[in-house]
Amino acid sequence: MGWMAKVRTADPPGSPSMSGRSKDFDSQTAASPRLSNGLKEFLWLASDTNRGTILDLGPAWQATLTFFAEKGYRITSDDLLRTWWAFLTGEEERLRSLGINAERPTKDALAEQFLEDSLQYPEGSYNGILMWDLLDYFEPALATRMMVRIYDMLRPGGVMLALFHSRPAERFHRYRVSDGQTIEMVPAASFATQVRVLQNREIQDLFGKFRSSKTFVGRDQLREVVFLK
Amino acid sequence: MWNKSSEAKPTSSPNKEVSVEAPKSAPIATSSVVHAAAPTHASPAVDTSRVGPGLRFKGELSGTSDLYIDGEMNGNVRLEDSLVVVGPNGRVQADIQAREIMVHGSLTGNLFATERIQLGRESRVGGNLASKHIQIEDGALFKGHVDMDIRKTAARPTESVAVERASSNGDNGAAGITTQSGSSEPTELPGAQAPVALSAAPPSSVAPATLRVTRVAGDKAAS
Repeated sequence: MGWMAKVRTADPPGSPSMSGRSKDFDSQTAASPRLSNGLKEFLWLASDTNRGTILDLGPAWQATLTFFAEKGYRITSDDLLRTWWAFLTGEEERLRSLGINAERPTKDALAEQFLEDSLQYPEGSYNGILMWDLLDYFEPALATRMMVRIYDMLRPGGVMLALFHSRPAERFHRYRVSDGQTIEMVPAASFATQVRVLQNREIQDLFGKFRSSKTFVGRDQLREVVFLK
Repeated sequence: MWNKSSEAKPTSSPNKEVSVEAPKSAPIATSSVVHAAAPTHASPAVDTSRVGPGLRFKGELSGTSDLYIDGEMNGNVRLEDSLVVVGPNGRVQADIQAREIMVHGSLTGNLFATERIQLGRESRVGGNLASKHIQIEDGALFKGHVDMDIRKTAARPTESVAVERASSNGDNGAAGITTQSGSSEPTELPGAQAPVALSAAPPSSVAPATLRVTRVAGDKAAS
């Protein structure tokens, strides 16, 4: 079974790839707040960068938007994980239409192709980036390329917050900011599959170009890491 | 009930205004403007101009009427004092300037609202948002920048998109409005009160630069 065969989508067959996201979130299950030292650190470091621009690579949330807007930031929302899985789903459908003999692209080729249209932001355009736990869901081929792009997108002195599971996640969550020291974990329909559990050494390799990092390990096996460019 | 559009008097204005006329058989609003409080996508206000399902519009819209788009639209919308709603079936590729913008369908373009932008839970929006108040419901898909300091963005005009001049392949002439076959009759929405339909101007040899939407309450009263 190929890599792309793992693609799952919450959308019914034939529906647009971006449709139906409102079904992703379980309205019956409350979001769980989580005290986040990583977010506190992120905000503290970001405050040195003159209230600039923040890139949120998770879904667009009113809470996150309001929080940063009230602090004077300009925020960009780009749900990269959803875009990636929509891309994989589209590729899978394209290959299916070509037939069984169609040549499957390599992971590297897919990653290159995806990044041709994604994360197209100018160099040095962001003071802060909220990565959340996306890297647990991206193949190494994509993660490596993406980190090069993201490093360039950050201004010198820019800061990034990333989360890493220490063991396979029990449930798929999306994240939003509720206040200066709390993030909320919102249970969501699992349209993406966790690819791996990154070890500390792998994280250091991925973020090798960053000036420094600070890691906070929670009791819920979620590591929060703040990287400074 | 919608066949009254042929009675709309062609205006002699060089701007080739397109009249918006209410169906005769439906309850007619008085000439005083009725501003409903934030109509939802299910019930456009009485004085709201509509691009209904099955309608495709290309070009620039400006004027004073509120606008409800539940069809396809490509171009620019400049209704600075009005409410613009993109309905659940709306597929819009346009920059929109309005007092208030609500999106429940699919939209690609930059939104600028002097008061409020709301993205509904089923909306799919790609573009930049600029407004004092922005509301994104859980479930909305949004990709783009958000700017809530409109003092900076107010001076940033929306670039005008040239109106695509009508070709001779059956498009309805000057205004650039095209109506898909068999779908020119607006679909009544549940609870809708006499929606005001867009009716295209007669074909003209001179294509206008813009399409202005105005209500013609006086005409309705006369008829």
